[in-house]
Parts: sequence; structure tokens; C-alpha cells
Amino acid sequence: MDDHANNLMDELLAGRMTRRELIVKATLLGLSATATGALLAACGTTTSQPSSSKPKAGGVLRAGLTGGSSSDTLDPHSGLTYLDTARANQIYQPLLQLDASAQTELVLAEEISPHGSTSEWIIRLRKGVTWHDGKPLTADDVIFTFQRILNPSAPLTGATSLGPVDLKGLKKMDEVTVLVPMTSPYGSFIDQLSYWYYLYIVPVGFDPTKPNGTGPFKYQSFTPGQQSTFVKNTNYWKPGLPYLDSVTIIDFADSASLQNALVSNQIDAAGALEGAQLKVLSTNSSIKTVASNTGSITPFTMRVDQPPFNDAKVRQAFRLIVNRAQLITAALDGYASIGADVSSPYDPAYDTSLHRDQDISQAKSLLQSAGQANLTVELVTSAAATGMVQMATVLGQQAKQAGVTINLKVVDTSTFFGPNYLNWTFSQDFYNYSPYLAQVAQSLLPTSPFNETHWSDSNYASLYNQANATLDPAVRKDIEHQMQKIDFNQGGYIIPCFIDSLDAYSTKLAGYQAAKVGQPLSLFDFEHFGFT
Amino acid sequence: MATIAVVPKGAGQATRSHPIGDLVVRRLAAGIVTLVIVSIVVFAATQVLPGNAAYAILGRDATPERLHALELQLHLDQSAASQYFAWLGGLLTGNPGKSLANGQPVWGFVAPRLVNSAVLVGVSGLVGSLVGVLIGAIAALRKDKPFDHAISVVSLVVTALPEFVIAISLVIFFSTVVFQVLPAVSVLPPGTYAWQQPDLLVLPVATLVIVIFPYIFRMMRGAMIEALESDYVEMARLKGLPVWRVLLVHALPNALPPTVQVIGLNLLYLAGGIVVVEYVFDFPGIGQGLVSAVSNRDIPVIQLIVIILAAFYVFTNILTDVVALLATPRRRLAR
Repeated sequence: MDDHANNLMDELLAGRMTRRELIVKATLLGLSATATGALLAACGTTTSQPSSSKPKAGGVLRAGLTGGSSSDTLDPHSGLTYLDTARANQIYQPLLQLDASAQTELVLAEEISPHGSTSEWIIRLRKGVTWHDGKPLTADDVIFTFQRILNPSAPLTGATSLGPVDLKGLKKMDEVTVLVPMTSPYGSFIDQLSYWYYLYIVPVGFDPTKPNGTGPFKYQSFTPGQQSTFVKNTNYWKPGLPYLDSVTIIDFADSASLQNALVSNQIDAAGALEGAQLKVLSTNSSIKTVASNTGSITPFTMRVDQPPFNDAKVRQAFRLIVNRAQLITAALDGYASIGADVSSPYDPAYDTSLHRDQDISQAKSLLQSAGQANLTVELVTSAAATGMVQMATVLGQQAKQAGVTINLKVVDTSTFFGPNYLNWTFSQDFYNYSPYLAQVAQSLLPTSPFNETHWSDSNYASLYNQANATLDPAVRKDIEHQMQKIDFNQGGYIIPCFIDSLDAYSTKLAGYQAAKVGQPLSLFDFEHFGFT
Repeated sequence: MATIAVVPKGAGQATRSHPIGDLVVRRLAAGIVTLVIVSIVVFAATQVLPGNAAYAILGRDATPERLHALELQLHLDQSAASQYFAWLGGLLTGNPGKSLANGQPVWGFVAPRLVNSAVLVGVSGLVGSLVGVLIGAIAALRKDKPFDHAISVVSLVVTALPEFVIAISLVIFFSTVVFQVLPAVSVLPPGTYAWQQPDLLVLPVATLVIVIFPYIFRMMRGAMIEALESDYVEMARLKGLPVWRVLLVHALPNALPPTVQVIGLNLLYLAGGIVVVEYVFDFPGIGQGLVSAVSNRDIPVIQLIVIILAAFYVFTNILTDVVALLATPRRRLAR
């Protein structure tokens, strides 16, 4: 707990938090920790370095990102790109989110705890929070938000995280308290809510064309594919924040022009850059580069229900083929840390004993015994995420050593995510960091929306249910370790590394920090940004 | 210059009493047929692209339920032919439809971009033509002198460079690495137009001027040399006319017609060349809009922009032929 207490103290000293907030926050941490165990993680160490100088009030932040288009949206529940999240994160706020060290941080909620069993939960909201139109935040807004996301005829992206929430049973206990019954035990509710960027709370009767949130900035203008502007919320519930008068978020067509705009001082912050760009920018004295270690993954996905990967020996052989250190250097300019085919390294339940090195002779003998010596496969890749095609190329080279021929099929992103997405036999995908059980819910259960590997193991699914049924953190951790063993020994993912998030800022800017989740630009936490 | 698609051939073939009027009428008719064919071809091409707008919009989150709902909303469940005719009918009645990407009217998306691109093409074409004609004339006057050789070599080298190399070189030199005097990207705040922030136009215009300059320069230089060596210019000189008069009144008018044709071809090139240049500079014109629309499979936007570009091709072709004809006295009258 010491490090975290120090962190809180730092925030207090830096003026980012009042004494009162500090006490509230510390108390909350204690409460939630005893309640679920999930927040125990907050005791973990944090290596993120807040920028040193203290921001002054005022100024206009111009932040640039790539990946936007005319299908950009301001609907906080339909966002897809970093740009969509960057915009939504200024206007809207979630119940909880992951902080810079990838641990749970309550935002609009003051408490989220199980009510007797993991099949029923209580959400108690922070008091005194108001919407941009002046109305107070109430329990009704949470109920409305859940109904909007879980809309049975057209469920939105966040529906996976809300999982078995029983819509009909949602009950307002008082102005700020909601009872959330589940149709099945859901002990990982808090972990699942860490997909906060799909789960922003919106007011009753919300109309996405008239943005109204509780966040630090208010909507001013939005032009899809070009830029959007948000102005300071002077009634923001966090005293003294935000520092900036306004934030302009600008879409860039490609990352070279994004980099150039930062160098020629047309923007103050550039998010989600590439390794080579960061190296160039780091030599510029008016720019500060930040490489954040994250838990983001770009797994190679092998379909476990199709040859040749329906044989676990072939999957294990492919995992042994990878020289992870070389792949990080060659494909990602060194900006990644080694992985062992299991996700979620910052989850307190992550099994740190797992480790896998390249072993070509073992890979060859596994392929031999599976009758797949001199195998030829096609790997479908696309420039959908940083380093994806490069990683595929390096894997193709490394596979030659084991007599495996990997033919790359590079497709454009629209094709990649087209009708064949999630059906390619051998491909790739990408995820930001989330706690282990949340990642499992996204991609490793028969009901998961992104089950690229078609992984469907009844023992594994039953372990997932057991983990959700227990209130005992130690029991749950033990179950999660069993699941990770299965991932490690039989799974369809190759997770060679956890990929760094690369950002660069003008040296005039302060208030940002490295963040482990994978969202760029200090998790778009612009309320703490300011000019020095 | 891979864009020389339409070979001007109207000049000199007229047999009736109003060769220019005749040419314009025939060319307009052919132009309209061309536009219809272009719209069909482009529509067919968008149908062949894998995935549709619904997949492109939902991307990774294209769950079957959301996909189905969006396809219904965008009328993607109807047949290709009925989608095409619905679009054509809308265009002819002045309503080019709504963007599949965000439901906003297509015209609202295209109009400000069209203005920005027109400014970019217009300024680049004007500056490039003036500079090309001027330097071409000077080089012709100083034929085989150091200036002529130097400028000819430079123009040959530039011809060999693709426009994005020129654009990136300019950015490196003027915006990022060497000097930092000009904006590296031309991001315009929505609702403002290119002429309101002229500094943002400098590098895109400079790129396009550098790209088209060599062609105009070389044609002007060649035509001017030919004119200067002609008998009538020699006669004018022998008569003792001042040099400026020989140049402007006798040589220039005869060197211009072939140069006008090349300027026309370069304007046509510019209409396509802006796609790359707008992308590099993030300039909000129709080129950048087209790139974005293609990746979104936003068919109404693709169709409208392509039709506008095709119409520009057709009409610029007719216009250059007419101008060239007017600049050639012995051809503008019926024989």
C-alpha cells in the first residue's frame, strides 16, 4: 500500500487533489479492496513518471491522432477508434476506469460491491456531480445507460462487459444507489467494467447529437474526419480542474503528417506514434517523447477448430518458433516487452512464472509427431495496428528455421475487418490491456464477440464460471492460474510481446504520464494537462 | 504524366461555317456520355471492393446484429442496380444523397472541399503556368547559355520525381528538419477556407507548381526557339524592331498555342495530382475526401467526387481546344 499512498501524497502535493479528496480516495480504496479483492491490485508498484512541472490555468491543447474518418462519432457507446475515445473521454465519464498503472480507479462511482453474493451488486454514485446542463447525476442515469448499451435489438460494444446484467431487475435504491442483479454469478464485474471507454455514463433521455456529460470539458464543435473542440466545464466536480480552457482534437490521415505537425508546432501532442518516429522525435529539443510500457497485445490467432491448428502440437510448435526478443527489435524498434502467450500482465492474478523461449528443435519434433513437417500456411495480416504487418513478416522469417513456410497475405483494413474477420485460419488481432477475466470474456469463451481462435473448451469455460462465483480473492486467483496454464499449454494465441504505447508532446505541455493500458496520450486524461 | 487520357483532335477538322461552335456541341455531347459511363464504372468498382460501408463503419465491432441493423439503415440490402438508379435520380434532381459514413448530406461534405481544392488547383495552375512560360521564354532567348542548361537539367530531374517525394522534401526543408518557417500540414479548422490562411497553402501549391513547371517550361522553350528561328522573326529583327516587340508581338503568340495545350493537360493532371498532395499535407480538399471515402466504402461520396473530377476533365479538354483554336488564326475560320 506504501507506493500507492505515496502516489496519493504526490497528487496532493502537486495540487491535483484536495486533502478531502485524498481521504475519500484512500478510504474508498480500503473499502473496495475488502469487498472484492480486485482493488488489492492498487497496492502494486507504479513506474509511471508524472511530468515534473506544474501546469498553469488556461491555454488551448491541440492533440493529434491518426485513424479517424468521416465515420467518426461522438456517441460515447459507438466509438471504435482512438479518436472516438479521445473525444468521448472529454465529455463523458465512466463508473470506474483503469488508471495509469492499469489498476482500478473509481470515477463516478463511490462504491461498487457485491451484495451478499456475486450475483447481485450495489453501485453507489458520487454525490454532487452534475451534468453539463446543470442537472444532478442520479441512479436513473446509470439504469438508462445500462439499458441503452444492452438494448436487446441492437446491443452496443459495451454489452459484452455488462455480461449477465439483468435489465429488468435493475432497481433504484435511492437517488445515488442502484441494485444490479445478474442472471448468473459475475464476480469479475469490476474487472469487466475496466472497458470503461465503451461504458461512459449518459443522462436519462440521452441524445448523442446533443452531447451532455459530466466530464471536464463541454462539447463545442465536431466535424467528422477533421477536428473537434471542447471547452472547459467550469462546474466540474473535481476542484481546480481542468487547467486548459479548451481542447481541440485533430484527425490526421497518416502518422508522418502527424509527426510533422508536432515538429512544426501545429499541435502540442501526438498520440500512438511508431517506433521509428519516436526515435527521430527524441532528438528534438522542443519535444518530449514518452514510451509507455503497456499490457496491449497483438496476438497471432490460430483457429483451434481448423487444420493444421486443430492439433495442439502444431500450436505449441508455432509458439516455440518465435524468437521474441528478436521480433521486438526487428518489428517494433525495441518498443515492447516479452510475453508468454498469456494476456493481462498487470492483473494481480497474472501468473508471472510463465515463460517461453524459442526452441526450434522442439518445434520441429512437435511438427514431426503431428505429421506436419515442412508445413505451409497462410497468415492474413493488415496494417490495422502498430507493427502488425512487421510482426507477421518477422514471424515468417523465423518460421523458416523450423521448415515452416508462412505466406503473408496483406489486406487493407476494410477487408481485414470485413466478412472474413474472426474467420481467418491464421491471422492477427489487437487489444488494449484489460484484466484477465475481462480479456477472456472478450475473446476466449464460446459467447465472446472476438473469439478469433474459435476456442471452445468446456473445462476452461467452467473455470471461468467458478472464478465468477467466488467472493474469495485467493480462490479466484488460483482458478485464474489454472486457466492461464491452459492458455499457455493449449491456447490458440501467440502473444510474443506487450507493445509500448508511443506518444510525443511539446515541452511546453505538462500533466501527462506514461500509462499501461494502451490508450495513447496518458489515457486522454486531458483534465490534468496544462501549459507551464 | 500518366494522365494524358484525352487526345485533343478537334482542331483543324471542322468543315462547316462555325468550327468552334460545332466543336463545342460535339464535344459536350460526347462528354456527357463519358460522364455516364464513368459513373457506371465507378459504381461497379465499389461493388467489387470486399466488404461494404457497414463493415467499413463498424470495423472490428461488426457483430451480426449491428451489421444487419446498419445495412437496413443504409439500404445496402437493395440490389446494386436499384442503388445506382436511386443515386442517379437524386443527382439529376440536385440531391446527391447522404453519406453512408455519417448520414450527413454528401454535398455538405464535398462543397467546402471542392472550394479548397479549386483554390489549390487554380493557384498552382496559375503560378505554374506563369513561371513556366516566363522561364521557358528566357531559356529560349538564352539558348545553350549556362542559364538554359542549368534550368533544363533541373526540370529534367524534377520530372523524374513523384509528387510525394517533392512534397516530403519541401516539408523536410521548410518545416521540420532544416528550417521551421512554414506549416508542415495544412489542417484547416472546419468552416474556414484555404484563402483565409494563406500560409497553409504555400507548401501544397509549391509542390504542385514544381510538378507541372517542367512540362510547361519545356514546351514553351521549344515552341519559342522554333518561333525565334522562323523567317518572320528574322524579318522583324532585320526591320530593326526592338527586342521586346519582336518577342511579345511576333514570337510569343506563335509559341503559345502548343503551350496552352500543355497547360490544359497539366490542369487535368492537377485534378488527379491533388489526391496525393492533399493526403501528404492533410489538406481538406476533395482528394483527401476521396481517399477517406474509399476506405469507408462511402459510395455516394466516391461517386460525386469522381463525377466532379471527370466533368472537370471533360470541360478542361473542351476549353483548351477552344483556346488553342482561338490562338491559331488560320484554323479558327471555316475553309
